[in-house]
Amino acid sequence: MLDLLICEFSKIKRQKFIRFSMMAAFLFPIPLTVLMANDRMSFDQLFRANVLFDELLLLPCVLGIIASILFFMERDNDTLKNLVTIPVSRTKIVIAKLLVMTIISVLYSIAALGATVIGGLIVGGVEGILYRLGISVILGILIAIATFPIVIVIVHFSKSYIFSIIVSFVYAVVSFVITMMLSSNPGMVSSISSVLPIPIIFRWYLSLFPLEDALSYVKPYMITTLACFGILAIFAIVTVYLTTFIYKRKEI
Amino acid sequence: MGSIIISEFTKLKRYSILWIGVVAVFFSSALAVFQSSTGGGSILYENFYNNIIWNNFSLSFPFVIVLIGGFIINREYIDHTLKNVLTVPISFRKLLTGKLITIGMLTILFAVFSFLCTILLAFILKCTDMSFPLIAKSLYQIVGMGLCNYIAVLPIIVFFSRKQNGFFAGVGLAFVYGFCGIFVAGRNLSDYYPITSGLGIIGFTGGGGADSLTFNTSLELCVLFLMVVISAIMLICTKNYEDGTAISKNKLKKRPVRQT
Repeated sequence: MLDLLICEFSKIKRQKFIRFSMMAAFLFPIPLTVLMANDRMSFDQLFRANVLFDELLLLPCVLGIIASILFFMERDNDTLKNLVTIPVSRTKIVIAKLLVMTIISVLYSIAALGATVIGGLIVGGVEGILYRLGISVILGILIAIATFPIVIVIVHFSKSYIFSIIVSFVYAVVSFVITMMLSSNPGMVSSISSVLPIPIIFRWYLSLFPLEDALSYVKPYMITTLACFGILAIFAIVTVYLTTFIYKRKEI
Repeated sequence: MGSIIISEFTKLKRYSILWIGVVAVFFSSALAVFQSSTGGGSILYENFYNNIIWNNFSLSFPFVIVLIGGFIINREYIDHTLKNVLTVPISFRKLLTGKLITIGMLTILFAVFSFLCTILLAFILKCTDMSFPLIAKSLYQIVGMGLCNYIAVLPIIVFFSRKQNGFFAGVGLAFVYGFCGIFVAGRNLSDYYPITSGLGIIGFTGGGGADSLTFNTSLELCVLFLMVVISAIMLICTKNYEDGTAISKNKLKKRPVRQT
């Protein structure tokens, strides 16, 4: 498996977009820092805003495009037949590609934290970096798992890059809108936010930091670490199984 | 130029990507239904269409304009038709200008579609204050905002038109660019930010904290004019492939022949 991972990373060395995607982690923190500095907000609020926009909204879009690059690579270059004749099982190929996606997601998350820390220095006051680093790494893993359903669609339809971009953006925006409604009117979306992974991650994230009094109404909707990890673990198992199942049925 | 635009529309007929634009525009209208109906009670048409304008500039329009614009330019590269067009001969600059005008016309069509969605959904929601002057005002504001968004994203389309598949990055950038409009609108910066600078020009009166603002229309016009100037400069600086190469020069580099 380690060899496969190294192979996947060697292949994506040629892909400029993946390097470019790390820069995307700086897109939201820059305007957010300016606005937070203008409104004299705390580092906690800056970190939360960056998690919300940079990770819960933008990261699934970026990961969707990366997933399509990773999976279409074999189709476009006609290399799947070579891999299968080595032989490497398709299950292993799928797992290796999903692991690469997860590692990129964690790297993006750390880059986003780096951008937030720089913003925090401007806003004034950076605290608990190690704790936040741990959270960022976990968020990277969880958001990668939350993006696995997009991989199922991409692998199943195996269409163009445009299609993958659209699917990723629609998934990210719908999840994000529900997440935002969770903060404004949690009762209205409580049932759907218990099923969709990105709102679940947000509900877990809210329980990690003390909330302002103005947001106390969302407290009943927070979920524990164990519940969040449990749901996403089941989600990961089901989605990986489905992706593998669909990938195996594809003709070379 | 007229024939270039007509041929662009002829090509567009085959592209299913237009449906993506239709879905995105409808999505922003459907989202406004949720936003307007959360408060309960009767829904005012003015609030409803203001929510649609808000969703259009922050979510759908910048993304859709750059996506479709980038796509119709990219098709010339991936379908290997650029070399044929250049040998007609039509210069790349002229072709790009034609495509940009086509995208502008498409933006108007999408904005009109957004208006039709607004009217349809307003009838379904039984909005209370619908009157002809207000409906005409909503048409003007939705189309006006669409055009302002088009001008705001023009430099992105031109910048990412030079490389095959380069527009993917442009689409991501346009999405963030549009989304940041939410943070900017409702603050004093909205006049300076190209995406939100259309709000004052169209006389936006709606929510999102923007109602307390007074817009500086002349400044907003200057910002959008600046965007047009930047796009024009980028367009003028675009290479015309006079050297005869319509593909990446890296691909043209010959491999060194080993001497034996």
